[in-house]
Amino acid sequence: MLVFLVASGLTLVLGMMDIINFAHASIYMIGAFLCYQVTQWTSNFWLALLVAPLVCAFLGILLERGLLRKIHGSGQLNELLVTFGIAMVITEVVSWIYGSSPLPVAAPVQLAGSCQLWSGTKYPLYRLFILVLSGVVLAFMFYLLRKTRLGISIRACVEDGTMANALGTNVSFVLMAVMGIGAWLAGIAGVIVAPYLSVYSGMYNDMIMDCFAVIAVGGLGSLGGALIAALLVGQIQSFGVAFMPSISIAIIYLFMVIVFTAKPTGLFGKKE
Amino acid sequence: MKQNLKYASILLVVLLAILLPLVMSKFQIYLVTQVIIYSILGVSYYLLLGHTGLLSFGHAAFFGVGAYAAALSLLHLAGPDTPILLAILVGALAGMLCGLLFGLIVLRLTKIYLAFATLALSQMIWAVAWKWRDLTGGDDGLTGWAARTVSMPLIGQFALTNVTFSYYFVFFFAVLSIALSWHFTKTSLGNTLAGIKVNSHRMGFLGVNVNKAKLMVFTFSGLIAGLSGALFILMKKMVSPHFLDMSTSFDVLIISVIGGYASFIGPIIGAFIYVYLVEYLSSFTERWQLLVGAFFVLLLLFYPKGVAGIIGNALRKVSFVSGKGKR
Repeated sequence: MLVFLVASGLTLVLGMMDIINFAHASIYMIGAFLCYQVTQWTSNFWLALLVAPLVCAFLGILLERGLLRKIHGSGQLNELLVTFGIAMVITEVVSWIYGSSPLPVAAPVQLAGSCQLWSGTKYPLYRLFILVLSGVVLAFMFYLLRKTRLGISIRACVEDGTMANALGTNVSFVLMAVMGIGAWLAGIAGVIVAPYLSVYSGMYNDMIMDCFAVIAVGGLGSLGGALIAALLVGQIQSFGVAFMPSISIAIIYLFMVIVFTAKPTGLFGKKE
Repeated sequence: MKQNLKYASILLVVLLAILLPLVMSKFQIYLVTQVIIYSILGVSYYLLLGHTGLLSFGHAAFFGVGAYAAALSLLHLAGPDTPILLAILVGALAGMLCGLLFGLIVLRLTKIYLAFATLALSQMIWAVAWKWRDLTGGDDGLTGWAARTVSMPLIGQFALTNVTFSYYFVFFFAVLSIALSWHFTKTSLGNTLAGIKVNSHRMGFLGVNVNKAKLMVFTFSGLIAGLSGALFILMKKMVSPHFLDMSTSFDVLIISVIGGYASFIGPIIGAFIYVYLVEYLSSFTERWQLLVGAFFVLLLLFYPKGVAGIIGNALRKVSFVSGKGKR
């Protein structure tokens, strides 16, 4: 579910701008570190959950306005490379400030325990919280995309940016909004992952590969595809660890390759 | 006139490269050797990205497979007597096979899909090298050929630890492989590939077998990259899964971009800058990656054609002022 939160933003941007935003997972990481910082200062997790994603959204917009827009039109590859460079810089800055050892973040007291499931097994409350929150965000995203004016514009731009522009949609604004929303989602994912996995500067690398797998398998630019792919990838990884531990790190790549050879545009991708 | 100038400058660079080790310190020679190996690797990447327009995130696979194949043949093929040249040949051929295999799998893909697929494939090979301890030594890697000697016909025996010798040794292969790559881009197949970069559909309509041409460039690029991997382990005296890692693929990408990925000479310039940049920055500060990243972004923003582009512009200006070249 977490990967889905990050990947959904990535896949939206990808669908619109046709670039892989390498810096997206960096924003996720920034979200986690902001969470650490805010809880350090105020020891209030909920405040972090509110503030950090907003800062992330702002950063995303800044990235789009300040950098990507400048280089837009000089080719897909250059845009991709710029985000790659940015990701490098962000990772280094973060590990410069916070060091490279993992930093723990305490889960909020309300969610510290575990609860009884119907079957009687105990389930940590915090994980349940992650599930519920992801579900809420997911529902919100679908509402936003399907029912609001902005959502219609976004979908139109994903479909055909030039045409949408000709019909009077402010594509440049929509682009900014998408970057903002995507970064906001990544920020949320970063914050809620912080108490669960703790915060470390290698988060970037761990997340970016999973994201790539999810958006590639799901089909670039497809939100529903990303959801299903995230679930699939998660399942395959857990099964791999459980049944074939020796090759578990290879299994997800194998899966990607198989999907690609069977259907080059991913499971739910449009035909080019 | 222009052609003459070009050949003269190439000759000058080659001469310089031959003479320089006589005055450089051992460490400098070592660095330049590394530059040369990265140049070979960069050129092999240029064939894919710059020449044919195929974006690969898995170039480390060719390099690493070449490196492992050479290392394994040094250790197991004929024990300590394995000729170094044979190991290099095995490495290059293994890289070639790997290129062929990648090509077969990803032929139908383009653009970002291609990048993802090559990344996934190379990560798969990385995982195998990581986990198959019996063969590859896992994350410890392989060592054990530092004390070997190379017997060159007519010249005599040399130890691998002899820095000056390995410089010339690597340089010889660099000239060979870079000249070969240059020739490759000028053959009719090379022209076809350049056409594919511009418009692959149109090339298809013209009756060109696009897939076959792409397969050829993957194979050839794999060969050259495998060669560079084999040379690299002779210099480093070890091989580890890091050679196959995603970050190695991205190193190649960074080298190409710094130099200018769209020109043949770009990756060579890029290799020079990258190796020296990393070496000197990392002696100043631990945060060298930050500076390299920032340099990379600024270069892309202001000079997307890389350093080769800057030099090209300057040359054009000079020839314009002197009134000789009308472009």
